[in-house]
Amino acid sequence: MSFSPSSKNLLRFAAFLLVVFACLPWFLSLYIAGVLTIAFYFSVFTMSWDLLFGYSGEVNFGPTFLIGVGAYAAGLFNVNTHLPVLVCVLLGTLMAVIAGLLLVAPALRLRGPYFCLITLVSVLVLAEFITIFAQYTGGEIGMTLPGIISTSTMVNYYLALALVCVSAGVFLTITSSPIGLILQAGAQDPVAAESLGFGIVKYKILAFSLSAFFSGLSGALLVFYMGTASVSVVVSVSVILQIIIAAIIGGRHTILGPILGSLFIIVTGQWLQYLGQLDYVAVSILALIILLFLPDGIAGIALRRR
Amino acid sequence: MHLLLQILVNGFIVSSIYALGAMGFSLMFGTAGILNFAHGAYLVLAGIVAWFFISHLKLPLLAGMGIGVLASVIFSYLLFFLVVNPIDKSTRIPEGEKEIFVLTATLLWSMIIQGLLDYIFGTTPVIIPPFAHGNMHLFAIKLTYNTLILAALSLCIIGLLWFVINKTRAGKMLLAASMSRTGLAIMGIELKRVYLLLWGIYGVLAGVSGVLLCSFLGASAEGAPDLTGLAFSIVVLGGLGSITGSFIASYIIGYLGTITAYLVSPSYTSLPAFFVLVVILLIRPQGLFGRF
Repeated sequence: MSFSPSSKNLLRFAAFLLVVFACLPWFLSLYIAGVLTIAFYFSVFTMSWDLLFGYSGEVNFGPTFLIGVGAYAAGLFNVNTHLPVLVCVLLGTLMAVIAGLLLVAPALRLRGPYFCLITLVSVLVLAEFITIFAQYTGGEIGMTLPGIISTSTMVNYYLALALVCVSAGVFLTITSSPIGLILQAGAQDPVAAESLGFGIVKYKILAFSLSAFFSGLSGALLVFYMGTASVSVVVSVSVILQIIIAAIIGGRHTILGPILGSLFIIVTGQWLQYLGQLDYVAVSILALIILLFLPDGIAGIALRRR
Repeated sequence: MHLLLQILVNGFIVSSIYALGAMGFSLMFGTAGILNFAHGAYLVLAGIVAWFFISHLKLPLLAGMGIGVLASVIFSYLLFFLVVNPIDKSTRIPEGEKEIFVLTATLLWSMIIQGLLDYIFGTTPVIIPPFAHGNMHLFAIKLTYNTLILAALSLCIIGLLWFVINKTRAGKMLLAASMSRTGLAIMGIELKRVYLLLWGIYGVLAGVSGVLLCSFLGASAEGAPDLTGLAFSIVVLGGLGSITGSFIASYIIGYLGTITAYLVSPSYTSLPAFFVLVVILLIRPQGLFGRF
């Protein structure tokens, strides 16, 4: 495994950020640590999305299908069985991978906008099902979970940070290995890649299941951290928008960029909260400006300064 | 028999209004290759602005609706000049990724419009007063005059659009652009002019369907993504880039929704349409009449 000079630069930057974030909670208030915890879980969603978009070229419009299945399955196991929280989280993750494979096996035949649509529809159908089976899922209000990972803000903070590190490590290893190259080749010219003897679909399914695994895991941990599973946090279309926007403004095709994008979206969102209803407008305008003037995203700035 | 008639007539009305709502989206994709994910926001924008001028400033119905359409046209040009054109001209965005950039940008644009609407007009759903009051009885089923007028207007506007696109020079330019932009440029037609025309027509179409939809169902900024999703499903089912396909697909989706609402339950309205969509995409990925 080897890294290009520019990605080494990015890795050094990431290591620096990791040290900063590992020390941060000793200096900051518990409230800010809580905001960052959510931002960390969110950045795992964004990285998983970037693995699919940035490397295998598939625009997945249904990341919250995977996240939502992971979160709600874990929640339902927690409410209806006496299994420990950790087992529920793992079962939820497993369900997310299974649901992801069921969705993607037929959908990978589709290209471009059609793949977008089928993944988007999967989310809308999931949201409908949650509303229809409201007596189990809590419907629009959300499902309150009895289980909890830990009451300590610190434990939750470091757990989320660890998840970010593990998933970033796995994604970076995959993308800088031959598998990553085959994925990129398949995205750029599927016919040429197939003619070289690579079964593109097999690799895409691998990428998709990895994406599903970490999305589901992060979704399940997030709802246990928050204590409730609700459509507006893990399923709704606005969450999808936030994920895509965070990945693009963070810098697609970098894995580490999306972490920066997620921190940007969640932290500016909190910081601009005094604007009241206009906070989303302000974040969207900022994101639009980044998109237009810095198309390589925040990570692009870090890469250029080498 | 009575129920069947009710489904037939109501399904027809709903579908006609949906068809007009999806036209702008379909035209924009077919001609410029742009999936405008702010489409729902444009519909809602026109509806809410028209409602504000009619209900609060006591303007006559048609004048208020005109202002709603104007708002949609202004935002349509704003989107073109501030966002879509700069991305198109950008040399720093790789050619192959422009599509996803435009898509993300229109998503952000949609959030900006929704946020501003929420902030200025509040979050409660609004409804434009009807064109005409009263009901009529047709073979023992009850219909309001307003829904009949809305459906008739929608069909007239779709007919007008068909005429403009197929029979006028400007429309033929759009049609040619949807087939080959390079070819059009070689023929000596400035693409910029085609785009200006396209975004103008898009603004009018989105605006008109927005005010009609707001008179039929009401509008709230929160509902914008659902409307975009509906338009997207209709256009993909019909086949991206085919306006005839979109027209037929809106009747399929409209009727499926109406049948479910009457025979099963109104809360399941959108599910069968989604399932049909998924099945059709798996059997025929390019949609019913798609060229791509």
